Amino acid sequence: MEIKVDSVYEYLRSTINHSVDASFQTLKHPQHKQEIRLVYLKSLCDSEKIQRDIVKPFFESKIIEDYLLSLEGYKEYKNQDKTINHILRGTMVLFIDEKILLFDMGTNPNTAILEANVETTIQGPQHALSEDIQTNISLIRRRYHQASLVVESEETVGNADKMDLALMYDHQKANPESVKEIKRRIKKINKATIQSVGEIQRQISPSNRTLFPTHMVTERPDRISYNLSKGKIVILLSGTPFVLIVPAVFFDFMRSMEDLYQPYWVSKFLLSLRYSGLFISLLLPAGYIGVVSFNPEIFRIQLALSIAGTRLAVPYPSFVEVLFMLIMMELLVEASIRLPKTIGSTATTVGGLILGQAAVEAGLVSNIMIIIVASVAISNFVVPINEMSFAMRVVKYLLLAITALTGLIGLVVGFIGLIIYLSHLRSLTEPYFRLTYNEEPETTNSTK
Amino acid sequence: MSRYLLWLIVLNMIANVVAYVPRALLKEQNDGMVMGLVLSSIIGTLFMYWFLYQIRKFPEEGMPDLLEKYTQKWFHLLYSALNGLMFYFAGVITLLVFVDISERFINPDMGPNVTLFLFLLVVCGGVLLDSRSLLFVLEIVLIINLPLMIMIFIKAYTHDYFSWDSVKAVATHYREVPSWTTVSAGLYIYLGFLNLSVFNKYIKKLNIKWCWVVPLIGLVNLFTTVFVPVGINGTVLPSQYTFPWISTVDSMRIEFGIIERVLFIFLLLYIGISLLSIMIHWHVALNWLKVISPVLKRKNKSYSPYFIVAIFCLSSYFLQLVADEKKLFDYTNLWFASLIPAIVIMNLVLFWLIRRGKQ
Repeated sequence: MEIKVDSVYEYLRSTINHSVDASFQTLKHPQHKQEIRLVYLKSLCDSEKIQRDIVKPFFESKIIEDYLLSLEGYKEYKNQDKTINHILRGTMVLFIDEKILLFDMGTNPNTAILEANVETTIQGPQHALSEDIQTNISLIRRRYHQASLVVESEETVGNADKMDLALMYDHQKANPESVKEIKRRIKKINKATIQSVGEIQRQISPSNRTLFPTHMVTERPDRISYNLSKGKIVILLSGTPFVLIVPAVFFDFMRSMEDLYQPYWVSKFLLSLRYSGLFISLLLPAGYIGVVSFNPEIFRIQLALSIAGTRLAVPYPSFVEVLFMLIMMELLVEASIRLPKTIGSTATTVGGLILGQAAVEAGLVSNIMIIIVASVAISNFVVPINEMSFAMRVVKYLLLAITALTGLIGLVVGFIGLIIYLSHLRSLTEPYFRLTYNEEPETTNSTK
Repeated sequence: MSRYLLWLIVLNMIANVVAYVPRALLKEQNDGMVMGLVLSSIIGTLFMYWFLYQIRKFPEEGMPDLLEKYTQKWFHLLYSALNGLMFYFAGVITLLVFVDISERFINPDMGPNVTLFLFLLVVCGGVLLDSRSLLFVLEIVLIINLPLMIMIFIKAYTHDYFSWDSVKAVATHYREVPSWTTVSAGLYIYLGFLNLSVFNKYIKKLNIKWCWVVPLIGLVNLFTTVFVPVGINGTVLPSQYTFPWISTVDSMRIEFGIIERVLFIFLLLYIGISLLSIMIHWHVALNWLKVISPVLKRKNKSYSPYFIVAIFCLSSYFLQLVADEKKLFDYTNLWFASLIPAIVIMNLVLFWLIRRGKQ
């Protein structure tokens, strides 16, 4: 056994000794000749805690080993590779006599709980998750008090960065088949670095090139706990304040948590507002092209004439006009996301107000076009889950293209095509696009 | 899941308001149409109950699979092929009629081939979906469309110039005996339940307690189909129109809306409804025809559905070339006429299957 301990020590030495923050300490007790060796990475461990829990007691007490075994954060030694993995996550390795003991001494400086910025509510909980996986697990546990809530830590993901991953679900409600399936898919992830749950989402989807988010990315602990109670599975990744909820249906993406907190009719009103926003942002630009360029007789005569009147100065067909303004708008949106917050407002003012006004005066676009683009821009962001509203931003152009080619028929056909495409999608193994969630025989989860 | 049966029936009912059913019925407006409506409702309801009672004995099983299990190969292949053809024609008639309508009323510049291509594109996508997803599509499209559709129907009935006297005048012919085609054409709107021959695979427990509403909706629907054109356009004209309903809707206007002509709302809605109806029929046809298609497999994936759908598309293109509107109407009447024997045979086959299943 002696040989083993020394070889492990040597192995650790050869693997991590080239870093300046690697620490190899040997402590010798002056009286009873006991000797322990400590190996850890200074940058990851709490040196005060090591001092307090290991070093001091070692010199003060006589039977150190039993004391060590009773320490919080003790882990058994398994093998060399796992030990290295542990060291890289803030574990200290302690060699005593012929034994190897592992202690969790890690500190994470980044445990601050962030404010909910992406999915805000007015009167709901105001805080989101943190970037530390342990903190997040604790936050979720504090919202979902059930003995049946299971936390499972999975193999690390990412070949190079080896990020920690955890699964949470209510084992009385979640579908065991789904749990098995999600574990199988996580095992298959093969990528150098995984930095966000968005990447996991793409990696566990059967096709890498999807347009719509089929799993929900969220930052809200209340949404997580609500979904846990519906039998969904939550995937947590260390280093990101977002989690992934699987499976999801399309209509989940249209709901804000606020809907649960508002009076019944208010929340129904908000929901219908969101759907009309969705329809406006999808159909309005394409519909404008269809009506103006193909069937102006649809509108009542006064309206048709006034649209034609504002387009008098515009020298090209309507789809050029729409495309021009929409792309300007997209650039504006993209710029204001990437810009620092202080400059962002300048960009919007210059872009939105001045450019729009100037474009009309120069006769490049019509006034009505400006109204359409503005309403599309606003209504697009009514969709509460960001990924979905981005997906809809793209779909709009597909409908635009098919309408520009084939008129209003194309718009209807394209819309039906969109519904067909959505119905064809699967979230994990559940159908993604359907009206009701719990239904025999393919009951998703609510009852096992 | 039983509500999908209702959706299938309702889809078949409203999809046929525009195509050739009103034309076929109104042609005999003064001889036998009225009794035809009543007769077809009675026959339709009886057939429906007969069929549903029998198919209920096979929960979560489709008829094509049942035939494969219980009957001899020659009969199984022959019968599947015939059924597949019937459903294929149901779809292709609607398709060609709507290509025609789109060209005439919405987009005359585009040409029938482009329209056909566009429709086929989305129809193929829908046909190749798995049956359950197709039912979801059905439900969502209907829920989006139905309210507007009902609004248009109500608007038609409350039209200022709606003349109940014309309706009464036509109704006085109630004693005349209808022809076979009239009864069949009226019957067709009830036949949504036949799609269940395939979709039954996904329905665990068929609840048919609510089915008494079907004849009611059917009667209202048939009445609307023929008497609204009569009420609005008078007793003479509707029987001469190719598409009585479109001309009828075109005489309505929304005074205070941004869209003045109801026709466009109606047509755009109906493109969606008809595409859906084509998808459902072809999907059923596809499932019937799977057994007679050559086995095309590569890497464990079967390509025969794609093959069949490609044939569907090519043959509908071909039909579009050869069949002008008059021929198409004649074919449709032939197809209507063959409906009653087809259903009787299907029910008898089911009856036989039940007996074989018991043995």
